[in-house]
Amino acid sequence: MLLNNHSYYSLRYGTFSEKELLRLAQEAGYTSLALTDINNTSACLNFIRLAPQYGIKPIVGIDFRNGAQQLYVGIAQSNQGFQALNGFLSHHSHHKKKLPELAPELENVVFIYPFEQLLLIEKTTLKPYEYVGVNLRDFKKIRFSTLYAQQNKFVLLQAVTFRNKRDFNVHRLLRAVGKSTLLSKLDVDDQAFGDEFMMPLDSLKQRLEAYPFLISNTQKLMEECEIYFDFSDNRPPQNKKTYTGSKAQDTALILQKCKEMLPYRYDKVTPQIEARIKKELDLIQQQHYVPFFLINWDIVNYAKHKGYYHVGRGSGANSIIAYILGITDVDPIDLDLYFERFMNLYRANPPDFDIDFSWRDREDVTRYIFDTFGKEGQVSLLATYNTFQHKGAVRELGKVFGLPKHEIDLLSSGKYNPQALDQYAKLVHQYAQHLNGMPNHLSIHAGGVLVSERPMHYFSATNLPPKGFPTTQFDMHIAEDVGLYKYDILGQRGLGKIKDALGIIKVNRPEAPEVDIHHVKPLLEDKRINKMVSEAKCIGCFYVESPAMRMLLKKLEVNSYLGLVAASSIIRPGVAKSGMMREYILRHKDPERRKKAHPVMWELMADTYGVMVYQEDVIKVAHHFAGLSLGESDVLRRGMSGKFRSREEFQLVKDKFISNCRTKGYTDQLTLEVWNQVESFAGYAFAKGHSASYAVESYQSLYLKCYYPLEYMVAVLNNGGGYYRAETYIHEARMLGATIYPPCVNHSNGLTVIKGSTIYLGFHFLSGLDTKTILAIIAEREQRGPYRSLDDFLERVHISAESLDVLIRVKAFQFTGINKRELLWDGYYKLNHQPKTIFQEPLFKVKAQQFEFPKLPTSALEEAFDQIELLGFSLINPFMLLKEELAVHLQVSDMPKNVGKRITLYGYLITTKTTSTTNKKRMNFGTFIDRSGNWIDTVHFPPVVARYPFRGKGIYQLTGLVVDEFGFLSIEVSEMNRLAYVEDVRFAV
Amino acid sequence: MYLAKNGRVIWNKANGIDNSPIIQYHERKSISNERTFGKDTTDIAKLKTSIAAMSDNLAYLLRKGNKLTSCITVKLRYSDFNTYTKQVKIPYTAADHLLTPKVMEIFDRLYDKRLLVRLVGVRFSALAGGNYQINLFDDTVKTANLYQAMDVLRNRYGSRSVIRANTFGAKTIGDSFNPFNGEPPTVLAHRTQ
Repeated sequence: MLLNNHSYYSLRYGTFSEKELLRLAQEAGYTSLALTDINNTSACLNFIRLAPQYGIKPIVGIDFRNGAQQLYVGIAQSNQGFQALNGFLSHHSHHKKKLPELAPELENVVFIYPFEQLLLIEKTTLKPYEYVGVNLRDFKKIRFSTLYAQQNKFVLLQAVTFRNKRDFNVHRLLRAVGKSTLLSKLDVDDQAFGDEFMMPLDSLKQRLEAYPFLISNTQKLMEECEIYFDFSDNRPPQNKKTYTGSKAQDTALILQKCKEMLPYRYDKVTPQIEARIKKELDLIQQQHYVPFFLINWDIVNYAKHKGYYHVGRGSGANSIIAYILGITDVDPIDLDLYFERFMNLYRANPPDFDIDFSWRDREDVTRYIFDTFGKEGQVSLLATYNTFQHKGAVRELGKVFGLPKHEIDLLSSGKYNPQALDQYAKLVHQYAQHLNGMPNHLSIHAGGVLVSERPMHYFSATNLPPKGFPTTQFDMHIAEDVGLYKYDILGQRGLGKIKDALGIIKVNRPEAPEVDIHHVKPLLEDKRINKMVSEAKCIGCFYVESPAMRMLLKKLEVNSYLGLVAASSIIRPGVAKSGMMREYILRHKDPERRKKAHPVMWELMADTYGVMVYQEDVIKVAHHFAGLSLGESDVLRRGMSGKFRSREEFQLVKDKFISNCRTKGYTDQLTLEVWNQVESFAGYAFAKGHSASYAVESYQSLYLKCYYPLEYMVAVLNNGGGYYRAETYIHEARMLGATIYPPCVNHSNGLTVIKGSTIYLGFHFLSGLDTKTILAIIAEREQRGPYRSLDDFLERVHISAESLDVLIRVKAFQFTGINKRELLWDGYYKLNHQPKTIFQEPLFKVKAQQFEFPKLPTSALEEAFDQIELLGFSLINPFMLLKEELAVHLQVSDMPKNVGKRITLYGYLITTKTTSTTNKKRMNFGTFIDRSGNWIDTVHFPPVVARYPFRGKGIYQLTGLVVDEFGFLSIEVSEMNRLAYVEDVRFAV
Repeated sequence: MYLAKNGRVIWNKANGIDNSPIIQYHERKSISNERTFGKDTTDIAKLKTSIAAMSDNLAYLLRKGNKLTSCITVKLRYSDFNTYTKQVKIPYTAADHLLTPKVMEIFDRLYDKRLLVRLVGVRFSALAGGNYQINLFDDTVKTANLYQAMDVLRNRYGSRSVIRANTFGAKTIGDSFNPFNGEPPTVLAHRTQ
């Protein structure tokens, strides 16, 4: 009977989930129900999926509104109708058009106009697909309307938006948030009516007693609606079914390509390789993954053709076919990658390939996919739901109640006394809890792309976010439920660094031999690179530069590719948390300890000393150790990553795991220990193929850093840095022998450039300079040669006084050899006496007036403060800025002989990392560099954090114990103080 | 000698010397009314009631003093103490039914922040002496008579003896004093809405 029900996907309008809606309807005695969210279809599929569990026949539609004004409700009579509705809505939202007053005629769709709306637009004749929707408030009016003659067109259109009065309040708050207005200013027209509750079916029928035709008409309309999607375990995949157009051709193509490309990957094809290829191909065909592989291959091919770099990773990287086709670059035979991880007969979904591109190239690849496979709208990006979190909700509600900023800040920080709150603050606090977890708005999933056989509107309406690619309204979980599996096209900066570095090397080191960075075998065995890894000198290199990784590499003395592959997975939170990281290091260092491993575990994972490191180890252990079937193991693996739908199913598998272990005769202690290990993975661990792919990229960047360090550092700077701030990479470049200059009008570009071993920082570091000016400076220089003097520059470039000020102060005119204070006087004078606009180059150069300046000295300190102001950091050693010169003190190089002793070091703060201890207390890890530029790693336990918190950038005095853990030295800080800088000399009187 | 002529004036003032003549009567340049609330509020109804009452009352005072205004200013102070005003020029008038809607319109435009309000105020300035002129087109003698009758009542029984129903809530706005007699306005010790 209810045709106009809203879930909270009626964004900033509805108040409860689609699941809750079903529960309410069941409770109230309904057997069929229509979900009609406002201009949205996010919840439709899940509604259809869940409805049978509640004994309800699902009907879906869309409540079409301009703002809060309800125009009409479209109800899909079939799947085609749903598609048509989605198309209609998407068309308008893509083009930002207002919805028309009159609904169009769509096949298998009925439109219900609210009675009041019909009166408003003075519509009296109804087409066959049009109905009059009456709500309970309209009863007193309908008899007097001319429409009343068409009684067979009248249906009940009573909305359901709330459960109770509190929901109504939440609704009003949401509306005020959505309209960004005050609650007290919210118009009545912008809210739903207060009576939109779910009424029990019996009492609703009682209310309708006088209008039996309403009941029968509504029931008839609902009976005519039928929508079906398959959500069962053996649902057919909805992805694009064929790559070439027919299955046979697809198979032929993949066989042909494999044959063609096999020699490139393997010089000699061993029987082992052949067997693996055959096994995979059979399974791929059996599971109908051929188009999935071919589309990935096509995408990668396009990228290669365009000269884009890519990394294929994810569980699909365990596949030999992917390796042969060039989707991935790791050899599964060589690395002994577990086949069942990426695919087995019991796994419902295809393997995932995450394909990384440089952040600059990704958009073009996405565009290519849309152009190639989405001619009829079969391609779209995936949405994610941005939900209200407590802090954000407090902020939004604070504004709705008109609280001033400082009060909102206080409320959202959570550091207040709940008893001392005033009335508004209490309300904010109370309702923020109700908003928690509700969807706030839709945004785009990081990399998911759907390529479907049918147009995407078959499943969902689409939005068009600013990037310009249609995006579904549901998220990846629902996509998987209905059988749509995403392709992951991601952007990362590491690839951009590698590509840029190669370009820079070509210019700066023309004598260097041509490098084929994709020919990785020699890189992996390069002694110099491996030495660098074992010393953890990896700043700037992909995935291995963080302090935690540096520590792990040192502890493990990683000096090979395989070691790095293991390290990349061990560093993940899951492994680290369960204490297995420590166990791994111990076993690595001490062969005796390896004997502690359980024989079955040892056999399964000999290369990682019987410790579970990779994601597939979960499957291996579950299958071989606990005797679960591969299908059950997969449930376990998915459960770990929180991707499971049903907790019960997961619990069943857990119980079976434990009971199987008992029957196998393992002790309970052992079983629980293994189970805990399995559980602690919690989806964080990498598949080995994935780790291996990352490690390849790490090696590529390590190679560049090893042989072309300066060029590589410049590439890092030009790709937005990495784990650390730009300053750290500049420091690293300096340590590697570069001379660093601030931006220079005659050398710098927008980005940083290197000439020989001299690095000129790019103009992009200067936040005070706008892009237009930067481009003008560079264009003019490229056209007519370098600038000869400040006068010459001012004649050729039209520049504002502020920009010139920035340039002079950062020493962009250092080449003139003139002191910058003189330049400032000169520059300001000339800018003030110059005509404002220059249309063309003057015919005769008028010699500008020259002045004699008195001596205007500048000091290095002044320089440093100017740099801190303009660049954000100084180019001199920060230790020079200390107010009091330090006495002779210990350096990092003194740490080894002081192990176990309390010493004091001085370090410039680079980065901190906060974690919480097992009893929820904050502890920190710090990274500093000492005066000579070496790294100091520190550990700050909770009492120290409480007493000596970090106080921002600067130099700290660090006192603490030197600890040697597996050969990695760090300081357990017991006292820490930030040292004062000298006063800013520029303003000192 | 520093600061030329002005330096001398400043020096004199600093020493308590001022030879300018004493002016007994000071022509009033504007009349205004404002209210700080006991508790910051976003209650739109209350805010609107207050300023409507202020506007009506000020208009009555204008008529009482035979004045017309041509400039309306609405003032708003948020709970963060930032104060905003907005003013418009209008044709000379002293009629509630022209002034009050205009005041409300300005208020709606002025109150655009999502913040609690601490103070609202209305000011009529650019005053000129004179009586209200009946508009040739849309006013009737009836309107003029109505104002006259209301003002007679007010003069006799107090300014709040006859008020518009929509200003009923603002009980303490509209004390009756003559702002045009040259005396400073009385300030109440306690004012609550």
